[in-house]
Amino acid sequence: MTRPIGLVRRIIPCMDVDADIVVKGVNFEGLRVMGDPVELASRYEEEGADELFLLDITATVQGRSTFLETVRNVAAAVSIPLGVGGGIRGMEDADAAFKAGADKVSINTAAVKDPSIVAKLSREYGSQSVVVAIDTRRINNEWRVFIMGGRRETLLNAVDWARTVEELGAGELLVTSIDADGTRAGYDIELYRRLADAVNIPVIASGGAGEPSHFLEVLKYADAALAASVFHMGVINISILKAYLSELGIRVRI
Amino acid sequence: MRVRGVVKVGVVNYGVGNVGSIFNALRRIEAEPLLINNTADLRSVDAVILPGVGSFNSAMVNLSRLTDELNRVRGSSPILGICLGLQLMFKGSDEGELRGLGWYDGWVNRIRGPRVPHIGWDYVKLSGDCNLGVARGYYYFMHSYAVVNPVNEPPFVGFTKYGDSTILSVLCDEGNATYGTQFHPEKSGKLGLSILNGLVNLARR
Repeated sequence: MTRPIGLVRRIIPCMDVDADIVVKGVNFEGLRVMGDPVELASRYEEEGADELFLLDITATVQGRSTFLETVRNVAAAVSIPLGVGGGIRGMEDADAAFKAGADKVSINTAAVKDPSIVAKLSREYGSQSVVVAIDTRRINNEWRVFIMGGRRETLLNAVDWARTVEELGAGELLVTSIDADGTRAGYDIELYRRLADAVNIPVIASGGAGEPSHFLEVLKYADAALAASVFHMGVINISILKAYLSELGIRVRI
Repeated sequence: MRVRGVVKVGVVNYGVGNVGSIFNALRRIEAEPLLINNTADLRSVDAVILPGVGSFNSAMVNLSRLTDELNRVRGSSPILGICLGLQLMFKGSDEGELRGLGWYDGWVNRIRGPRVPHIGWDYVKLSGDCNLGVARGYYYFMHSYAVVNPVNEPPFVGFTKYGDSTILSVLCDEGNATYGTQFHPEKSGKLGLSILNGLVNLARR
């Protein structure tokens, strides 16, 4: 089943941040420097990005305060929604992210370890501010959930887990295919087709964007498409991408 | 309203949620944001924002100490309700048992649509002019409740289709200098900032 076509689809650049620098890896490894977070964020807003995501990939105590400073700087520079994730272990971390200017937080490992955190966050901040991030890899014909930045496999099935967190009060899902991440070979369409059937909350697709047609394909099933390196490296310009999508019948904000 | 120089915009503190985005946006248009905690704060500002954070009940509990003063200020200083802040201006909501400010007839319902919460950019259609300077176009929504299928007459001037129903997206009551948006102007790029600018300009008149 495809997603309701009347809804406006979103394009979301994602910035992985380490020590106030945007970096990007392939299959979650091998990091390369991409640029300054505030400069990139401003450029993306100008190009017509619908939302931005900042992910803390350091997740050390020291790195944490540097990251929150990055969140503050980016939030002060743009006037589109800002999602923040990476290393959010509980209410205190979420609170710090919101105070720094996040409009939504995404929670991943901590939700798997203690699912009740999803309900708590959604009660406190409203479900629209709570994104559950799911990193998944295809193993024996099922999508298995991975945590700890893709390093640890769990026994959870990604589609079942998506349903569970929806019930707990997640407002959105940010689902990354580890297999596709950084490959530029296209999104894992089958994964998002399954998720579109399984849940009623918005799904953000992540991992694998390489060319405009990849966005076109995945946005039949997902509500939003997130990408990183193709935007950072100027392979795809967001305003040109949105014009292309609009021409081919995907409703986007132009 | 005879304000010269920097316009002070008070953002009502419900004690929950985060108003950082609104503060950032106000600073970007060179207004001075202030958090309103008590009636004295409310009297010291040129314009008032009821922000869209938290839930209906928690906001009304916190607002109760300010309602008398809000009613006094209303009409002289421009007031803008954002998201939940707009919903509070009605009689009540499916979201909580407490009564709202009751400034407008109508009830806030849980929305029914293809997807709840309604998150993302959506189109606002206008049926009339608003001196706040609202333009038709795409704005950022993030909510599960709204005034659903409102009558198409002032002060209801902006509407957004969602699923089979219509959501009230802009309230413009020029006589009482009271305004509301169901979307978040502070998150809606340039079009959104121009609405906040409109509020600041009204405070200057």
